[in-house]
Amino acid sequence: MTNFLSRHGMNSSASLAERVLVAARAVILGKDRELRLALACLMARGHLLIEDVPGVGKTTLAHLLARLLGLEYARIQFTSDLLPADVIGVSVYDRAAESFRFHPGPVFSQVVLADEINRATPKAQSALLEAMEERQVTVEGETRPLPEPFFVIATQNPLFQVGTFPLPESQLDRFLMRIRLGYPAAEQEKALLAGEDRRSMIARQQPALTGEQLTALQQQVVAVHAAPAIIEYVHAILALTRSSERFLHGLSPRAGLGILRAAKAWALLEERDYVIPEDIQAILPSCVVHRLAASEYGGRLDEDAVMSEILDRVALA
Amino acid sequence: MEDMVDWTRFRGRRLSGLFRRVARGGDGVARVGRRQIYILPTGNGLRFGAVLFVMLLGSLNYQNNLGLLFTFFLASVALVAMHHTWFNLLGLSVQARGGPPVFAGDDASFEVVVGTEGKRARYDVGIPAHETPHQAIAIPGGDCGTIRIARPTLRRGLSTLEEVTVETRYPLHLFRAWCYVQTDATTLVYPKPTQAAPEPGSAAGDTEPRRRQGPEGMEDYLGPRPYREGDSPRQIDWKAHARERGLVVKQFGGDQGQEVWIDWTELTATDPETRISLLTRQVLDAAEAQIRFGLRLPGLEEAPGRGDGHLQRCLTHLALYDHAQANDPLQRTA
Amino acid sequence: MPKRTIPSNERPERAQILRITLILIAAYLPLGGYLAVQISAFVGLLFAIRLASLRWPAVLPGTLPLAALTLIGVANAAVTYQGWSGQNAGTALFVSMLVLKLMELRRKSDIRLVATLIGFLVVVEFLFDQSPWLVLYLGAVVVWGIALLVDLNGGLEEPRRRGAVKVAVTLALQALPLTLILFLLFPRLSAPLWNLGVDPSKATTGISDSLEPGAISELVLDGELAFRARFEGAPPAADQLYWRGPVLWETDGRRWSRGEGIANSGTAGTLLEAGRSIDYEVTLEPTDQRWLFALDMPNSVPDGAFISSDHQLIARQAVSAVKRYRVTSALDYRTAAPDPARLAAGLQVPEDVTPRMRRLVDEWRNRSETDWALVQSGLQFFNRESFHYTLMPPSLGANPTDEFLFETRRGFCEHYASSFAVLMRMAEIPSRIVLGYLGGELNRVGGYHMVWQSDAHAWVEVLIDGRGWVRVDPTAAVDPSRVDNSGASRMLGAGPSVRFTLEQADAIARFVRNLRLFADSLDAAWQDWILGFSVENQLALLERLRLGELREYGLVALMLAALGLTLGVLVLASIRERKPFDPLQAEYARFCGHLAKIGLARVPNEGPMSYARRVVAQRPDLAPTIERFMDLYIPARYGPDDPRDVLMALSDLLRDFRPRSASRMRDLLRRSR
Repeated sequence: MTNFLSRHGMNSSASLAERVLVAARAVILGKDRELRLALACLMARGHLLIEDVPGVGKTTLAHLLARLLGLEYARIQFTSDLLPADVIGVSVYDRAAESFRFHPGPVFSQVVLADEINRATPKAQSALLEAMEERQVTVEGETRPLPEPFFVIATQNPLFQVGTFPLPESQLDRFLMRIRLGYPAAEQEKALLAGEDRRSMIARQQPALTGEQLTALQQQVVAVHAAPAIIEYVHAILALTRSSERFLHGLSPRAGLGILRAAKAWALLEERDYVIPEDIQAILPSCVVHRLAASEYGGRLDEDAVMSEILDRVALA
Repeated sequence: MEDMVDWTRFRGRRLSGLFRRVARGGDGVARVGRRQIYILPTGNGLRFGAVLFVMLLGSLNYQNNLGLLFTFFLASVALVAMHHTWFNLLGLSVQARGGPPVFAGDDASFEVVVGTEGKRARYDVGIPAHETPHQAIAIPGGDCGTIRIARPTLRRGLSTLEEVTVETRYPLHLFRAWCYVQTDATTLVYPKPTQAAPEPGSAAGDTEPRRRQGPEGMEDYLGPRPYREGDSPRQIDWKAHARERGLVVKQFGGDQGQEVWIDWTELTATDPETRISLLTRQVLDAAEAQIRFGLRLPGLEEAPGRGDGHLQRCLTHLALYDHAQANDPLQRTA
Repeated sequence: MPKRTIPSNERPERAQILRITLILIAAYLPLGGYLAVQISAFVGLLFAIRLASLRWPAVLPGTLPLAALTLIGVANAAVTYQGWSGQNAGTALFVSMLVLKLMELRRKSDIRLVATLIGFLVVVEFLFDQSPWLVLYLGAVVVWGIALLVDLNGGLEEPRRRGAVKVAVTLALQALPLTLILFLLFPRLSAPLWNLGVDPSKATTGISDSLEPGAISELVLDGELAFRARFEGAPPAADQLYWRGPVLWETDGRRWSRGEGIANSGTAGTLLEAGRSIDYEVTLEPTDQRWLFALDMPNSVPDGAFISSDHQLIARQAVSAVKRYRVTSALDYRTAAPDPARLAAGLQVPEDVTPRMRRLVDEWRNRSETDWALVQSGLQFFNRESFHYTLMPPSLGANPTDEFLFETRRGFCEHYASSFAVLMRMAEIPSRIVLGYLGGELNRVGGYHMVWQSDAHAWVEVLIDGRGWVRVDPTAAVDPSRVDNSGASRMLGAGPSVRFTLEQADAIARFVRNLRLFADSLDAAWQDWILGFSVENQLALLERLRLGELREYGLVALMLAALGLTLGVLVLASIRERKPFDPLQAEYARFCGHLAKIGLARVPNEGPMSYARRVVAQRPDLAPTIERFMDLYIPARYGPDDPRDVLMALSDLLRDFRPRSASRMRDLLRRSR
């Protein structure tokens, strides 16, 4: 998916991002769109939630992204007996220094892979989710900043699975995007079966970006231009979700900012330094569906219905 | 059911000359102007008027000023409501588009997008339908809404929705305002396939039937080829296009397997339409069996191929094939 | 008759049935007080069935029970009112049938019909009651009904109910100016086309055409309004406000009456001299009598009335509805001398004259040189002797005049007037009694005087040589210290008459009084402008607009012009909506327009790039132009740079861009080969 245009192409940054994508495609087959969305999410400095049934490669994707971005990486397997301290870290008395010394938890990594986040109790969930929001952790009265960059890539099972604690909408709002992987297509599945073990492939991957390059990419995302027409379009979408009877409540202003940021990252991936409506349309499903709740009790929103409700009804001039 | 359809067509044809229609504008959108709106009281409106008249006579006769006051109030409400009814259509933008192709005998679907361009919201805008209950929508200001309508199809070819009637009875159902909107939405109607058809003859030289799993997209990349009408846009190599190499399709496919020719001349039915229906069945069967097949019609040949794009191309040929002019310029590789 | 299936969108919802029932109940409630209990019981039963059926549908009667209910309803109304004729019977029948219709609301149009007929019910209710409160109440009910009509029509945005109410209120507000125009200008009938079914107005209170002891004191306890009077210019002093009514000639010693053959006979009474003219307008409450009240002495004749030889205004028809008329009166006047028949009648003396009465009169005659001096002596008698003024006089025996003058000496105006007139006649001075009202309460809020039944009064006119009839009020001669302020006068619901000086009101009483005055001025405006608005008002309005000659035609023309103007304003207010003009957007619209002409219109929610891709996929031959256009347009519209320099290039591009239709798909197929 490229465009007709080359005048405003941003070849250097696009090729940087392209490099990540090419490497990722080799490991994760046939999921080009999902890979691009995930990369756009991280370029927009957003946290990513991957939701799907077990075994479709959620963990692989998270692991791979950390690896390719050349970031320090920690994995937390969320279980029902996980304690907040297991996430944040604990202070232990150090006899030699005769004082408490803080042992930082896995959250003090640049990429935190929170695996099966909805298996943990709400208490453990909120320890992580608060760190995501503040980008710092307060332990025993002392505020410790988290590393920069800091990403949380969380995976969760669909809500109807047994033994899960669903994340409330207010917490879901902290994830910029939620993507679903879905089963691979037949050919890819066969290739997967025939091919090498994914884990060892990831271990062999070299980082595609340096830390500086990633920071530069993130800064370029911020600099992408959003014309007044685009702002108006995003606003119309927000207004529609607020007035529509199908949703319990509309999108928050934070969601609006998130949509714009994600669209900018997507524009950059499309080698453009400005946002066009198609960018919004491309990222919108991943950005809004998890933030909306159906208005009738127990009603579920499926992605296509939400998108047809929103995208079909907002006209473009 | 069919009587009804014929009747509406008859009416449409006879009276359409008398009524002004809303023509499409330069951008393909028809905008309802003030001279194209017709308005008449509904049955309820007539009854309302009759009761008002009795109220007026009674109040005048008995010189009951309060009775007059309320009669006038209700009359004024009706008068204002009539203007609201009229206004509810004024300036609406209407645009119709055809739906996916259907087989003859099924209902062709059309989408009519009705929008407002100002800030004023519109309510109870609908398209009358005989078969289905009247569906009316509300359109928020500056927004648009979609009304889906179905029209029965009888013959293969292009089914065109020449005109839709957009109507409203907002706000009190005392008046009905309507306008005739010209559209050019077309839906392709494939021939109705017969229940069964003889097995088409195989092309010479290839006897071993070989069936493969999976649609075309999953196969190995073979290389580019020029764009042909009917190719899925997903197969177009857009990057190449952006580099100004024209439209190029990425071609996938395995080795050439079994091929059959579906051929007009192999059939014995005399009625051309029956032949076309039989051919349609053969094409559908072959596509289901995932066999490579080609289509030969007098004056027209579609090279063997496989996949959705190929199937659609063949069905489109069959839908639009004009056997009376078999020797027209369409003829290519006779 | 086979039942036709009703499409789902024509079937009413439960909430809508509930609401039409509630609206009908609300519309019926005011009638409950006027119709017989049996009618309300029947209607109430039907309401109960309808409401219960919403919960338990089985309660709803089928065809046969419904027919039975209909018969019961008809019979109920017929038996209650012994027939069909009359306002009550007709209303009862109509209401019963209307409520029965609630039992079969199969389609939405059934509900619409009921809602429409509620409008008729409302108009019928105004035959019973015309108070402003009822108008407000029924107005709210009608707007509620309109909201239901909106809701029934559907196609509204959710939440529907709130939207429907908003629309109904908008409609009502926009309809108000039109209502006003129609009300003011719609031509009225000056006489009814037919007359049946409406009951005559109820018995009215007020002055009658005879006088006997206790007649007026009874009236004085009545709190009703007699009439309102609005003076042009400064009103006269309170003691000049003698509102003249019937003139009584004949007496039998107890009872005074107008006298056969004398009252109002002869030529119209004219004034030889008239000074201090005063113009005013009177709004008279219905009296069912023909006389009109005017200040002493009326000097002009309103339409539809004449002036009698007794200087009394007489209407040609009994006043059965509120009547408004303008009169001029002369406060200083000299009447002509009466004809001989009247002179004789003015000297008629009852038979039961006692010697002590004769002695009294003879003594006055001896003392006085002139008739006028004798009159003064009579007044002094009432003033000096211990006459008391009271609303509760002791009852009088066989010879009331004698008993009052020499024994009880307690009485009300009729006692004073009656006895004074008898005494004057004994002194050979022609006298007569005038009934009417004295004074009136100034309503500062409305700027008019209110005259109550409690202001009813009787006074005497004596004929003095050279001066004509002169008004003498013997009641006023009573020493104020002997006016009985306690007792019954407190019971006066109405305002203080000039005859009573009630104790100084405290603040609360003043406030209550002001409130009452305010309410009365509202009521007066209601009477003047709504209930009493008539052909005359319309013609006066035309006169003021200098369109008087046009009469009804002028009215209709004015009405149509005003209606058109108001609707025009409403229409203009709705039309104006403008969008800011963006040249780039205009070029894009032009571009889309060209493509739309060849059947490739843009879908409203389609972005430019997806649109271009779709078009190019279908028409590869157009690709170069479309690419060029998008290359320019997309960065200009969405990019950071100033789009102005691109505009020119875009319009150049579009000038030569005339895509030709692919003449349907057949051609397209050919091209792809």
